[in-house]
Amino acid sequence: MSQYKPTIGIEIHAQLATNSKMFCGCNNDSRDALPNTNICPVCLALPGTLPVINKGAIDMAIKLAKGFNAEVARTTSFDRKNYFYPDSPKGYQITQMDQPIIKNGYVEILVGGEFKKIGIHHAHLEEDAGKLTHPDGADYSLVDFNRAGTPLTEIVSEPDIKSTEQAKRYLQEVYNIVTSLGVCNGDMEHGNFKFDLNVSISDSSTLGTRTELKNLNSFRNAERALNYEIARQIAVLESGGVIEQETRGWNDTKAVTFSQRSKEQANDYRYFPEPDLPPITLSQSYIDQVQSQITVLPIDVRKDLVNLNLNADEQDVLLAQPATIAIFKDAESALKKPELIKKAVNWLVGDYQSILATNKKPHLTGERLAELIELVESGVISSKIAKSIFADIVAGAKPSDIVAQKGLKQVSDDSELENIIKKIILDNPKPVDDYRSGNARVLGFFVGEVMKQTKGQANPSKVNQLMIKLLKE
Amino acid sequence: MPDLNYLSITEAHELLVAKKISAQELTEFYIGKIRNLNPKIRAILTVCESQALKQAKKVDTKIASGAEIGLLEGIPYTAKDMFLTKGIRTTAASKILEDYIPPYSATVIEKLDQAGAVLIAKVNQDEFAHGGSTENSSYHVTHNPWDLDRVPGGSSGGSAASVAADFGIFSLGTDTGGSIRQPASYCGVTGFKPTYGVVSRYGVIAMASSFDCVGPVARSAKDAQIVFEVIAGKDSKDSTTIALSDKTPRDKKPVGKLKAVFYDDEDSNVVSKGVAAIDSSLLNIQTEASIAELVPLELALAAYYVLVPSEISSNLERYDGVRYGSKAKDSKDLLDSYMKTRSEFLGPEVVRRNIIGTYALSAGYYDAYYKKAMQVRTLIIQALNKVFESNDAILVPTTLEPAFKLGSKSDPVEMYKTDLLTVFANLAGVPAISIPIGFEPTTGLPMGLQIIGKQGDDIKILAIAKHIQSDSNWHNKLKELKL
Repeated sequence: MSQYKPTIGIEIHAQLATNSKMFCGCNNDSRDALPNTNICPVCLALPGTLPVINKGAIDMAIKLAKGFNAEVARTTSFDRKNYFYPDSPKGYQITQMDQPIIKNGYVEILVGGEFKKIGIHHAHLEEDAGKLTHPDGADYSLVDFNRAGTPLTEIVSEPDIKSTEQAKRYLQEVYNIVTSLGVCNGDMEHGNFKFDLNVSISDSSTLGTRTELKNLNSFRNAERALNYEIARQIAVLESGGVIEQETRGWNDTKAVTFSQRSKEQANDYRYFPEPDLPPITLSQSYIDQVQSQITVLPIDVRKDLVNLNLNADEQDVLLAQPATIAIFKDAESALKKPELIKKAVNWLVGDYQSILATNKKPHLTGERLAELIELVESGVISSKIAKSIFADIVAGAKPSDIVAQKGLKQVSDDSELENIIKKIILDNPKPVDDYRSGNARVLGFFVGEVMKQTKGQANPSKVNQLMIKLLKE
Repeated sequence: MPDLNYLSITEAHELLVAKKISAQELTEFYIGKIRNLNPKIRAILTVCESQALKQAKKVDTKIASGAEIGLLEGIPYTAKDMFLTKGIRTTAASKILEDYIPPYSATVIEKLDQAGAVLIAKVNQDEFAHGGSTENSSYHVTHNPWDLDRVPGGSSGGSAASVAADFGIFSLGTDTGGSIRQPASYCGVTGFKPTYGVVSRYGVIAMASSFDCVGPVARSAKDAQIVFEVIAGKDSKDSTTIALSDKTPRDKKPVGKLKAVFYDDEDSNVVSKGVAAIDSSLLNIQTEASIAELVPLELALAAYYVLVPSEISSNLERYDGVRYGSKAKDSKDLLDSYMKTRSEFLGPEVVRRNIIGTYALSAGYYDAYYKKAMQVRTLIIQALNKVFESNDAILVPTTLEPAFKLGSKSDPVEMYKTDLLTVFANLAGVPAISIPIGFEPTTGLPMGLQIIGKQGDDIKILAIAKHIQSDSNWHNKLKELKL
């Protein structure tokens, strides 16, 4: 049997989190809006209307270019992609073909402990279409234009991806970039981040015929669809068949890919330069100014986490949350020592995640997390106390304030502890005898008693040390 | 009451200021004139009487309050049906927009509204401005006021005919390949196509976005300039607009060298004679042989009829019956609905241009047609730049012949050829004005002279036209028209 190797290229559509739409002033967030309420003459394509480019979308693309290690085109222009469909009010989509705003970049993915570069051929700006619904049994369809004109960026990879695992890592990494830069809300349920997968297999250096898996919207489905499609293509070739160049869909329930449109049925979109929008020229100083607003890139955080020996799952938890990355970066610069930074990560991927599940408005800052870790490190509080006050800190309390307020400072004072221990020894003659007759296990009982009486504020190592000393007297 | 026929903007303004007439009386006079004479000319698609009277009354209140009024306040005008007018039916002379009432007004209509001008009627045109005779209107033809058996030209035929017949003091037109200048020439009026981008296209039904220009049709260059300066300027809603930067003094004699070039054809003799009669102490005009030696006219026409239909085929896709406009009944599915709607409600010339454009942009043809035509466009720009290196303007006939008979050009290519001398200005985006320059002796019909300048020289071109008109009487011959 031949050894087939897959080659995968991915096109990602990420919705941009701008305030207004790509070419008009309408609100870009219609999640809670009634159908056809965020619309205007421009996005309805009334006669005589003209598009005006949203500067916010241009700025986001400039930031993305940095995330993709890519060039920003100094001159970028728009084109029309013509097709008739009721969700396309103008009868054409304004997109970019000849001069996309982002080109020649790469994304680094971590596979098998090594970083691999996946090329970004280009990424361009375009507008989304409206949304069609087909009511059951009705002889009509409904169209909602709230989404019409929403800015999208289409991110087109090179066919550098060689396995399902790499594809998954690539999708995750791009997702991390667009969300951490604040360019995309990343709400996959609302279609903020969708992708088309181009797959071919070959047992030689010549690429095979590719199929395109259209419109996937979850990482899990991408993985399942790719595995299915690679296996399907192998089976076709093994049985002496040929792969047809076609567009295929993914049926989630049946877990199969299915043919949607052959190459012959492909539309001719009659692209031509958008005459209503003159090309945009971007100066280097403007590009620099916009990119200087970026404080951290997810790949840099990942490299930090790799150096801290965090596993991939822990990395992903952090990297999927831009706000958490920001907390981490601030804590990192406050703490400096790797062993303490690792503690910050533990907090963030552990306790913090369980609190996030219920608290949607956390107030944790990197500074406060660092303060908490320092309080434990310097022995002011125990790690147990730290855990008990963490929720308050996430809710907005300053660690040192809450420690002072609740009187949680660890008791390390010898004379104070000695008094407590002496009293416990007097009150418990039986365990004292046991200990003295050689049963070392009762030491745990005494330490527990001290902790009970100090409400957990006693310094455990101090207690141990004093207890042994006093029992021996 | 003073004689209100064929008033200039300034004359009407002076009558209003002197309270010899009210704005309401002036508006009623024009509406009355339309009632009486339009059945002969058929220049009008919609009369906006109530809105016009409301606007006129506002002006009268202002005059009564003793406030000063601007030049355009109370001045009645007409607009081609390409301009969206809030609350007033706007059709582009197409059945597909037969009942379309826009929810907003074009930027230029708003500007004129704010300047106090009174829109009294929307006028006829070729459907979606596709044509050169106004015969392609889906409603009716328009007759040339000089000879009712002849076309007024097009596509802004209603604008030119309404100004020639005095149904308004000026009109707004659009010019994609000569659609203001050619009908102005045929109707003996002045029509100005500004530099591309100097006047906003927002709210103007698109024909070909990279060619469409909005401009005035008036009875003199002086009036055209008054209107132009109100409507010109950058518009945040139209990304292709630029500010008007021409610093030519408004009312001084223009200096510089003008090159008069004629097409090698006997019909242009009327124009060359007219130019020869211009007092040389006013303008330094040097005559050369043929425009075709300076500009590749045939190439320009061919490129124009590739690029314009390409843009049309895309710009007209929105008329699909889904959101507004006419929609065919009894279609069995989506494709059927598109096909029936567009077949039933778009006229034959519109369909023809859509097919040509769709073909030219198709995969495998794009390079041979669209791209090649874009290269020709660059050539035209270069050729004109060369001429303008040593000349301030080109003087050239607007058309080869005077207005032709209704129904006489049934071959579309024959019709396209009437644009031969006008399209190159649109390909290059330069300003061009057509002014009356004489009468063709056998028919007695007016002929126009084009003055074409370089990009941004709008005021200079208008100044040259004004000086020619200050020394000639061709533009006043309208007053002798007997309707």
